[in-house]
Amino acid sequence: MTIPKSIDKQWRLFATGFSFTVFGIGAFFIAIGLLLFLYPIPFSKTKKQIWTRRTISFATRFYVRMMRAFGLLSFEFKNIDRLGNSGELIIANHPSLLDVVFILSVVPDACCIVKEALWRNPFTFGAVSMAGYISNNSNGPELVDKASKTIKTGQSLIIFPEGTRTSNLEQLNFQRGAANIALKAACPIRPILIGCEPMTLRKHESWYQIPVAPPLFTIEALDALVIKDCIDTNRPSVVQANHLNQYLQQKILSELQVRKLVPKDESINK
Amino acid sequence: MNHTKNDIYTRIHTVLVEQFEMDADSISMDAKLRDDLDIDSIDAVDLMVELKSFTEKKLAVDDFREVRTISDIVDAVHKLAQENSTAT
Repeated sequence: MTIPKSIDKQWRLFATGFSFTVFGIGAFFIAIGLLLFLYPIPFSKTKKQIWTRRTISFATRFYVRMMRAFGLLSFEFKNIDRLGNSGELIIANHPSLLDVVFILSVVPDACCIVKEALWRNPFTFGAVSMAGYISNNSNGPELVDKASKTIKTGQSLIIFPEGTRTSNLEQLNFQRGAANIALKAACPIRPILIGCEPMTLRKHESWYQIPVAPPLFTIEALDALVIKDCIDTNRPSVVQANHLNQYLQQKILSELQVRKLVPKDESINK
Repeated sequence: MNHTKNDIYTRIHTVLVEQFEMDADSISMDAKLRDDLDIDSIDAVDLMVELKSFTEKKLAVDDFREVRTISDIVDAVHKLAQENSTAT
């Protein structure tokens, strides 16, 4: 049975709107649920944080499967058994709004750096604060401090070094913050490659701009990188941060290119 | 101890060449930190640590917010150094 294109698109428009609503309401009810059932239990703060993160991870697992069931997208995970090590800096390229949802769905106890705005949003406030996520409201050096301390306590931290969703797909533009955090925490770096074809939910796009076809997301974990194998660690710290940043950017870009995950020109201007 | 603006500039120049491995020719009083030298707020902290000998106290990142060019740093550090020498 073939569904006419216009009906398919209208269905996906409706289902996308519904999914966004589910996200907001879901986050709100998860927060209420945790507040009622987890918060009163005399667990340590750390333990509550872990359970909050596990709940979020479970919810995101459900969420992406729900979107797949609606025919909005499909996805493939590769080598995700490599994830789940503690105390790693997880870095990824950032083609879409859903990237972090996919990563959280496979990393059950990860910390994230989250937009300050999510603390002011009543739907997301509860979840982000109970999960112990780091807000991006502090200045660069403070953020590097907080983030590296978090990794040193054995948590893994997810960062998109581009700082925002990819705008120029031909070249990634990594900010040095992620490299600085890795250097300060002296931790392994775990690259994740995210493919999204055709592109959807990019920076300049609204939720109702439905992609021409349901996108395929590929989420692939690479082997962890050890800093001293990437750069000369005898150089001054500023130079190390620069070199590590360049190295990571080049590494992710070249691995994306090998897999042909860097989109072609025509889909960029669409 | 009284430092002239020239002393401060010389020190900044040295730090940028030695610690930041920058091309000496790219550094001038008018060079913009972000646009010309690609110095971000995290690098700025490292630079400030190196300049502590002039100010004798740690510079807060907020002191740095208004700073755009090398000459802005020279002025800011000079001002702090002056305040220190009059205070003690």
